[in-house]
Amino acid sequence: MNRLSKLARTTSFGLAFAALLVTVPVAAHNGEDHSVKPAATKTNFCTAVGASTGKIKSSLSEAQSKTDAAINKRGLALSSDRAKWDAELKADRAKWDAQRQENFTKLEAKATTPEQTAAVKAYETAIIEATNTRRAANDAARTAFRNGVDAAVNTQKTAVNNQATAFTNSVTAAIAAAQASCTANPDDSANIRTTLQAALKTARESFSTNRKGDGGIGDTVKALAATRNTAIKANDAAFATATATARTTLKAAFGSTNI
Amino acid sequence: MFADSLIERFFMRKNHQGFSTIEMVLVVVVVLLLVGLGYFFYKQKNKPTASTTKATSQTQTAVPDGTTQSIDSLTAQDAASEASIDSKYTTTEQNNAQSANSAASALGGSYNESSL
Repeated sequence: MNRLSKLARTTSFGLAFAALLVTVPVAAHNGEDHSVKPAATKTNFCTAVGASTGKIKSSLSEAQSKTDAAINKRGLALSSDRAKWDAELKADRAKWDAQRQENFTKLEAKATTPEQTAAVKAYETAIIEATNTRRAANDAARTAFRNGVDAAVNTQKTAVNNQATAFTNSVTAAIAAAQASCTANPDDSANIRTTLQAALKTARESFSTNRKGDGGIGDTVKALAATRNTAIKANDAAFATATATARTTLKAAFGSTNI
Repeated sequence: MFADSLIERFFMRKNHQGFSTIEMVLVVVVVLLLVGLGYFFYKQKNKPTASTTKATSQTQTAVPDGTTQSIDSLTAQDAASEASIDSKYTTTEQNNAQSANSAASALGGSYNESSL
């Protein structure tokens, strides 16, 4: 019992120590945003206005570069995944074509008269044509879907660029105004600082509001996919009708439903 | 005599510093038990996928070859397979399309004006 309680005590201490090791650095890291460190105090704001606003400009420029990189990466990912998609479809179609051809060969072996052989050939042609028609129609639906996604992506890209430009212009103007005020009236440091902070806050919040209003394009992609799937279902239905007609003709030629 | 010595060595040690062999063995047994349970549940989780694959292959072979019925079945599977590929890549397309959203929104948090 003593050993067990000692084991429990040692484990508890170990866990508590490990938790302390993890939580202290995390708590320290989760504090305020460290991207822009205070460069000037209330009293000497105008003295260091160039340095402190320079850091803001630099942070903004860095974030803009990251946004541009993410947009470029998105374009590359869309292109690369579509190529994979096409390759997978091509391989899949080849696989089904091979299996269908095997069945056609076995079906041909069942024909005992020239009429039956001709009927099997006509059936095969009808199935292959119907398959090709369906695939072409599905590909068209897929292309329409991709064009729709591209249009949505480009619209969003333009919107983001416009919002980012307006945001950057507002920040640049606010900083220029603060610098001009500091030159004209360096004793009014505290008021200039407050005015600049308010302008920067307004610019930032306005950008965030516009971004939220712009929304994601996930819903647009979903709607486009639904339209594509509806078209594909209609293509499948047309295909089923065409194959049913070919099947009926073949069965009539064989005089049997067991074919 | 030898048995008494063993019992004393393993269960009745006078020295209470550290852990005895029996305690260490118990810990190893508990760890092995947990690993065994984990492996069992992992296998259970993967089981339905295997049975689904089996069922699909059974469906493919259930229809006799060289009939209009088997060709109809193949074309139906062809269509289902194409739809499945479309579905998979639609999710990828959607994720790709949205991938730049967070970076664009992060632009708004690039500075903290209160730090001035």
